[in-house]
Amino acid sequence: MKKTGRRLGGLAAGACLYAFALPALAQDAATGGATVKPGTPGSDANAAVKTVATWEAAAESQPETVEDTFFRLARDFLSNYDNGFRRLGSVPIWPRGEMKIGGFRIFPFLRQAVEWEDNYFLQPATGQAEDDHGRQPQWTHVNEVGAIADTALAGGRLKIGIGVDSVWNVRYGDAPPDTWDFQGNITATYTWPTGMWLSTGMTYDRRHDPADVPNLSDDFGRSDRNGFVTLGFDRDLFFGSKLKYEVGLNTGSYQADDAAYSDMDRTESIFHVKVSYPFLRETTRLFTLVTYQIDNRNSDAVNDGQSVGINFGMEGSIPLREGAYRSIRGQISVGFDSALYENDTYRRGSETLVADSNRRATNLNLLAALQYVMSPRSTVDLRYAHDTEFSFYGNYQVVDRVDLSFTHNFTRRLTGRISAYYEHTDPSGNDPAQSIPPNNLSSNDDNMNLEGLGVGFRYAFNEWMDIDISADVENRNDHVDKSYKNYRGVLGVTFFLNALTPKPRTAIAP
Amino acid sequence: MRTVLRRMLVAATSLALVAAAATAGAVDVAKARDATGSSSITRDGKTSPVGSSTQFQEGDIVRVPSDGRLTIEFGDGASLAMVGPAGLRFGPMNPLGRRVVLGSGVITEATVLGIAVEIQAPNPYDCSLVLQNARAFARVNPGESVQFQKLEGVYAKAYLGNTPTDLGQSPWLLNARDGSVAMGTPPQGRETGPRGALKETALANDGVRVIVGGRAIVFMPAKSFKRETTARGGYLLCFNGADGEWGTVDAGRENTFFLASGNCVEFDANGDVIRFDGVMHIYEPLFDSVYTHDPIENAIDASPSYSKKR
Repeated sequence: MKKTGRRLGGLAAGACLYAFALPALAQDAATGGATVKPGTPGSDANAAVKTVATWEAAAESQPETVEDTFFRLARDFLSNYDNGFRRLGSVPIWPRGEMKIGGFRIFPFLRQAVEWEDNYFLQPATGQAEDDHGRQPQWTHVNEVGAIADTALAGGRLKIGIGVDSVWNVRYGDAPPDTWDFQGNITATYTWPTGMWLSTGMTYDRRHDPADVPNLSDDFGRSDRNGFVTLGFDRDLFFGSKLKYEVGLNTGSYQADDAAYSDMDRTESIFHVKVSYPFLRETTRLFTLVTYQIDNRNSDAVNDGQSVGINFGMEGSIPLREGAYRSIRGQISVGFDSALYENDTYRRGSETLVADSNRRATNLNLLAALQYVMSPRSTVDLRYAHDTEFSFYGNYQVVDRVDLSFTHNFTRRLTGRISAYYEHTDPSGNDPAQSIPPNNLSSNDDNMNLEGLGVGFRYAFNEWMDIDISADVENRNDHVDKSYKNYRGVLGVTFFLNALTPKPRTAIAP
Repeated sequence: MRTVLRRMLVAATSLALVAAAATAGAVDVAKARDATGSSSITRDGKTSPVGSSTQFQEGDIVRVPSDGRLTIEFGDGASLAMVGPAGLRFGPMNPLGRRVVLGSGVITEATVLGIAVEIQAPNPYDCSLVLQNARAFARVNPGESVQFQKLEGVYAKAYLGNTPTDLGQSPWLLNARDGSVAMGTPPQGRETGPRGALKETALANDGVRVIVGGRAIVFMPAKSFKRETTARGGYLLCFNGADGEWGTVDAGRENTFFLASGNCVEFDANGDVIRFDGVMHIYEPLFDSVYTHDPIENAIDASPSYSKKR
C-alpha cells in the first residue's frame, strides 16, 4: 500500500541536475564574442579561452564557499564512510599526492585488507540464540577500489563531484556468502554571481553487514537510493540584510534484499528551510532550521507518518585566544520534532494487530557536532544527538548517541585515533504487538544500549602506500537474550594511485 | 591647374579605395620559422607537429612546449617570436588587420609592419595589445597578470575594455587578481612568484590569511612557511619547521591540513587543493543542515537507524 514515490526522488534529482547544468553551459556559450576592440572585427577571445587556456577563472571572492573543496567530498564520501567500510577507531584515508589531471581533481585508491571478527552474526553471549549461526568468528578478505573526482566548469561556478567505492568481501571457512558493497554518488553545485546557489545530487548505496538488524536471514543486504536538491542564497537578495537562506528537499528510498527485512523498506522525504544570521566574530552564525518529513513505509507493521521539526542553533568556528592553533568549530542546536503517525492495523494469522498505538509524539531534538583543534598534532571530535529516528519496531525510536574521537600525529608518518561511542535507544510500540482485542502479553518495546571502543593507526610507508591497523569492541546491552559482544581486528594496505609517480616538486629554499 | 590636381587626387583616392576593396576580402596566412622543440598545431580538432612548411590560418591553435621556441611570420614580414610554454590561437588575418589570442606564455618580440596586429589576452581579462610599425613584448600568466611592453616603434597601445593607453618603454601590467593596472617594472620571478605576491592579512599568533580563487586560506606559524605563487596562478605552501614541529593550513570551514617539515600543500587558481603530502584528520561533516535524519545528502547512513554512523 505504500510503494508510491520509490524512485521519484532519484528521478527528480537527476532532472534537476540536468536542468541546471543547461543554463550553466548556456551562459558560457552566451558570453562568446562579447568584446569588440576598436577598429577590429568581432572578438574571438571567448572562443579561444576554451581551447587554448587551461585554467578556470576564479570566482568572486567569498570568505566561505558553498562546498569545502575536494576534501569535503572525501569527508562525506570516503573517509568517514564507516558504516561497515571503516571500522570504529580506524584512521581514515585522506586524499594525498598529485590530484589534478587535466581539468579534474581525482583521487583513486586500492585497498587490500584482512578483517577478523569474533562474533560475525552478533549472537548473544547468553541465553538462546535466535537462529543456528551461533557465535561464529569470521575472516574476511576485503578488496576495495574507489575514487573521488571533481571538476569546475563555467569559470568555477559549476562544480561537479563524483565518487565510487566498491568493496568485495571474500569470506573463508564456514562462512556467510561473499558480498559486494558499493557506494556511488554524483553531486553538482552551481553558484550565480548574485550569491544564489543550487546544489543537487544522487547516491546509491548497498550494504551487507549484519549490524543493527535482527537475525532474520543470512542475507543482510539492503540498499538505498538518495537524491537531494538545495537552493541557497549566500546574500540576501530580498531584503539586503546579512541573512542567508537555504531550502532543500532530500529523499531516500530504502530497500532490503531479503523479504525478511522488508519492514525497513520505505521512502523518506525531508523538506527543510534554514535561515542564518552572523553572530560572534563574524565566524559564527545563528540559525533556525525548520524541517518537514514524510515517511512512507512499505510494511503494514510500521505506520506511515509525518513530522515537523524546529531547531535553533549556532554554527561556525571560534578561534581561541589561548593558543595559535586552538579553535572550536561545528554546530549546536536545540529544538523539537512533532510527529503524527497513522493508526494502521494488520493481520497476522487469525489475529488483528495494532502496528503502534503511539500516534502522536513530540520529542526534544538536540545536536552538538564540534571539533576542537587542540594543537598542530591533535584534534578532538565530539558528536551528541538526541533525536527521533526510524524504527523497525514501532512508529519511531528516540535515540541518544554520543561519539568521541581523538586523533594524534605521532610522527610525520604515523597517525593514531581512538574512538568511543554510546547509544541509548528507546523505541515506541509494543513487543509483541498489541492485538484487537488487547491481550496481556504485550508490553513496551525494550530499550537498548550500545557502546563501542576502537583504536587504530595509519602508517605512511611511502608516498603511495599506507598501512592501517585497528581493533575495536562493541557491546550491546538489551534484555538478556539479545545482548552481544563483538571483537574485531583489521589490517589493511592502501595504495594511493595518484602518488605512484610523483612529479618533482618546486625546490624549497632552506 | 588646381582642377587637374583635384581630379588627380580624386582619381588616386578612387584607385586606392578600389584597391583596398579588392584586397579587403583576401585571406592572409602565416608560416612557421625557426621552430625548436616539438611545437604542435591543432586544426579542426586534429593536432599535428609544426614543421618548416606549416602554414597557419584563422582558428588554428599553436602550442609551444616548455623547451621550445617558434617564430610566426606573416606575409608582409611581420613576425611573432614565442617562447614556450605558450599557447596561441589565430584569429582573423586579412589586409585590414590581424588578431591572435595569447592564451598563456610569452611573445618575446612582436614585429609589426604596415598591417596592424592585435594580441589579445583571453577572457576574463578583456585586454589586448594593438601594434603597427612597432616592436613589442607580451606575456600572459593566467590567473595572475598580463604584461605588454613596447620595445620601439610608432603605434603601440594597450586596450583594457575599450580604453586605450599609449605604451612607452615601461611595461603595462594588469594584475589579474584585483584588476588593477600599473606602469613600471613588473615583479620578477613570475614562474614561481615572489613571497607576498598575494595580499596577506596578518592574524594573531603568527597566522596569515590569503585569498586564492575566492577561497580563504589560513596558515600558521607563518614564519615557517615558504609560500610561492605558481605559474598557473595557484599557491604553494611548504612548511620548513624544526624536526617535530608541525604547521597547519586551514582551507574552507572544515579542512585543516597538518604539515611536517618538508610537507607541502598546493592550491590551483580556484583555491582547490591539487597536491598534498601531509596529514589530515578527517571526521564526519560538521555543517550539514539535515544532520541526523535519514536520508542525508551523501548517503553515509544506509542502515535503518543512525546507530551505525560513527
